[in-house]
Amino acid sequence: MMEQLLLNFLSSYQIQVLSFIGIFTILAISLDIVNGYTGQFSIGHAGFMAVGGYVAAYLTFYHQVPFILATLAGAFAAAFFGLLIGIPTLRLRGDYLAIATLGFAEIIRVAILNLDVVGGARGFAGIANLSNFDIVLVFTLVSFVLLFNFTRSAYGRALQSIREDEIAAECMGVPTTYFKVLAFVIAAFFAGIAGSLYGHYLMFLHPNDFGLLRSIEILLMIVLGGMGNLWGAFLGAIVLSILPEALRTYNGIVYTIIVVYLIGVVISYQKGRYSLLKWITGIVIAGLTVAALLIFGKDIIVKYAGQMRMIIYSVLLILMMLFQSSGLIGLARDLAKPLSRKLRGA
Amino acid sequence: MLKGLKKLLELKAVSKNFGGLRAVNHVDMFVPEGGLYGLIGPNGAGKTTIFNLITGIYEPTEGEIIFDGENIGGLQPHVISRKGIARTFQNIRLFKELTVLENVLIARQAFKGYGLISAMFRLPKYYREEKKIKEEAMQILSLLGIADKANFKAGALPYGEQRLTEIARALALKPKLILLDEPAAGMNPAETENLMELIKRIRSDFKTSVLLIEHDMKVVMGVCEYIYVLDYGSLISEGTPEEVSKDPKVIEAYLGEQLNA
Amino acid sequence: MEQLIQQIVNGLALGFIYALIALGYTLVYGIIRLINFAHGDIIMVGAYIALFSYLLLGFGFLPSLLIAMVLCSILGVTIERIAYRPIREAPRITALITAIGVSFLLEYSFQLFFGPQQRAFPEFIKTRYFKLGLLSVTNEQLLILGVAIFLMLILNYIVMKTKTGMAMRAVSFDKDAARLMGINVDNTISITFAIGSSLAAAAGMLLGMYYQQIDPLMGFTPGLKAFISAVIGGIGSIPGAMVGGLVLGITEVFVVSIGYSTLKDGVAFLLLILVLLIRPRGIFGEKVVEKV
Repeated sequence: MMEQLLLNFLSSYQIQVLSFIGIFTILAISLDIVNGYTGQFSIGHAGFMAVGGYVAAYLTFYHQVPFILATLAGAFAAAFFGLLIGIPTLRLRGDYLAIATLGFAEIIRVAILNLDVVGGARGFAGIANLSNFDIVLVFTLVSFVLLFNFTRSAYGRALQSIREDEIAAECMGVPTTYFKVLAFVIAAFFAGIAGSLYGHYLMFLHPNDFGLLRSIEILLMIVLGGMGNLWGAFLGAIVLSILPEALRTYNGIVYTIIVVYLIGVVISYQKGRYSLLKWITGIVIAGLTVAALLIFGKDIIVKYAGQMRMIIYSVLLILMMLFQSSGLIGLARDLAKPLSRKLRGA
Repeated sequence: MLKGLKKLLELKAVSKNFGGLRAVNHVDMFVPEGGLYGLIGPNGAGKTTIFNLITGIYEPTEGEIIFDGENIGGLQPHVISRKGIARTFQNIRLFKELTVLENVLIARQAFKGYGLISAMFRLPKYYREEKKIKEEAMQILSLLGIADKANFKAGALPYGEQRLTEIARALALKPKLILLDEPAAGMNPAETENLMELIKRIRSDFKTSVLLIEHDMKVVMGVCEYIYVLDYGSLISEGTPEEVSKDPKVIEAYLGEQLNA
Repeated sequence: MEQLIQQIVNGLALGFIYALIALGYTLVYGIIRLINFAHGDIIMVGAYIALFSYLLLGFGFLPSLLIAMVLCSILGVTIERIAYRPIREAPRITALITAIGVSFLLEYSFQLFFGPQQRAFPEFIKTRYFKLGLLSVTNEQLLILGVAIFLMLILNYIVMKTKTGMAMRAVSFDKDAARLMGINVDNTISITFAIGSSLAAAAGMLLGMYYQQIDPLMGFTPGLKAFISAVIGGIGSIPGAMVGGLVLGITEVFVVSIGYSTLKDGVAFLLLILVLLIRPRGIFGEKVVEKV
């Protein structure tokens, strides 16, 4: 129904983008539970998305299982894999965990590649179109509310205590391994839901859609938006869903560059007050370079826009880590601080 | 030895090796129920290591650690803490990004209050339990005089209040025994006085036994009823404050030379 | 039986290449506790430099190798200076994400500038077969072995017998103590990156010779496998990196030879998981005790 309503204002293409924002929001907030709140490092999230998607699609395709049930089954299957993978790997240190999760996601992907019953290397085609904007909207809202409540409870506190100081958390009675695995399993569950929504929206699944690139994309969303904050994850999902679309047209690129430039100005302003001259010079130079690029490099930009996408992502990633590791949400908070101080009359 | 008291915590011939280094060597000590005992010694003597052994961060290489009649050597820290041993850390280990209240709540929640479903779906049980533990946490914060800082980020507090927060957090476990690791470090004389009162109150009002590591001799001599002295991992002396302060071995360990007592 | 030994010999070449790459990982991890995701891509850069030095400058094996090693050292040091040094004290997650960013940047820049297609790698030496008893080896395999062993010996000398090497070992034990002892930590870290990157460049060229083609994404999988080798051998341990690389190389070749070639990439991950489950510190790794 919502979709019908929106079709009055937006094109069906734009509604599709909104649907993907919803799906990626679920992926981002679930990953944020593990990486942001618990401080662990999983870069294999796409693997759980794949499990959920393929299991649900298998059920609807071969056994005509109703959509919601199939989705839940996919989610539970993903959660099961989360348990399987989490228990041995979560007692490892951060860096090892990263590689282990990457490895497991790859193993899942390679396994699916060899499973002909779900299409294997040709992909799984002909999946029923059981998910649309309305369904995605409902699932996204429900997932967000549930996970939000989760983070604002004793569970959320326990996870954050593990992130802050694992040894102190242990000594204060938090069974850290149990909670790390719990976070992992819950994240996998919701990733599975997203996978099912994804597969039944596109009506097609392919293992290469769930490789490291996808996991990194989701990671970038929470890094960009701000880890440890569900609203940040949501923001990141929005930005990264819109970015590829924006980078398709010349105008889109211009707007993107302007926005990024402005954000850069704001970031450097609140961090670089030490030398006003240096700061102004830097801003002016950057501004002129960007303007020159846009005016003279128009053809080049349009021609290479698509390939530039990953380069822009990686540069974004590096810059975010160097200058604003708390993400856009962190930036918003930093900006609000002097404001709130003024309001309190300081 | 103060006879006739029930031993709450007992270390029997406990040793700990790190590779070739013997950090703790055949230590025999105990803390009775209701006791306020001290553990002193020069830097690097192994005092914090003993705390780590008791709380399960390290496993003893040899010997037994008995708490309330149960052998707790080798158990995981969170299990030991739920059995009734709480601690503070030498280099304050608060959950810096969380508020003071949240720090205390983490220790207060026993996870038997409400389950995952209650949390996610905000069932009535969630609200009941949250209200209860929040009240209990605020009570502890009030008793320590930092209730007004409840919603401040723990990392933003001044040093002295961070220490108090850590103690509040430990007390929130409702422990039978609390291990305080150099709580007076970095405190001015006024704060130290308050701390001494607090430690005594912990024993009397909170009904918690105390084992205290401290370098500030005023605090140790002022509150402890019995003291163990550690040097290079071994117990070199023990006794009441008067006995220990007169023991030449203790003086030598601290000052490196004999002095007229 | 000869089959088995033949497979082992074949695996040795691949294994030594993995070992070379693994050394770079283990050196960097040992000194700043960072998994340098971009390390695998430096392999790729080295291979491309070798390719272009042959195509554009007409250089043979040795000069191409040297140019690749030198230029990649500079690249490695530059990356460290710009991307890793500013966040050295930041949480490890931040550094890891940055490393991923650098890795992607290298991969996709090269894709943009040189095209994503695979390019034939020049035959620096004409392939000849030798028979040693019942075994046959190519001169390429011997060259790979030779170069790898030679570089490892040099590395061992540097780390064990020079002041620089001692500084590297000191910094990897305790950065702050090393600084207090007068060691220039920044320079030591830069040198470590330089050495690691030059080894990666050599490995890239050898990989190019082994598979006879290169592409911008060629470094990703070998890089990952080499990291796994380092973990198997014990991350932070130099003999560990060598042994780990050999173990992985031989296992991989063996798996292909018994007919499971589609799973050969999975072998590395399976080994990784086994090691993480059974002995996380690896073969030569030390148990790290965190000071509380």
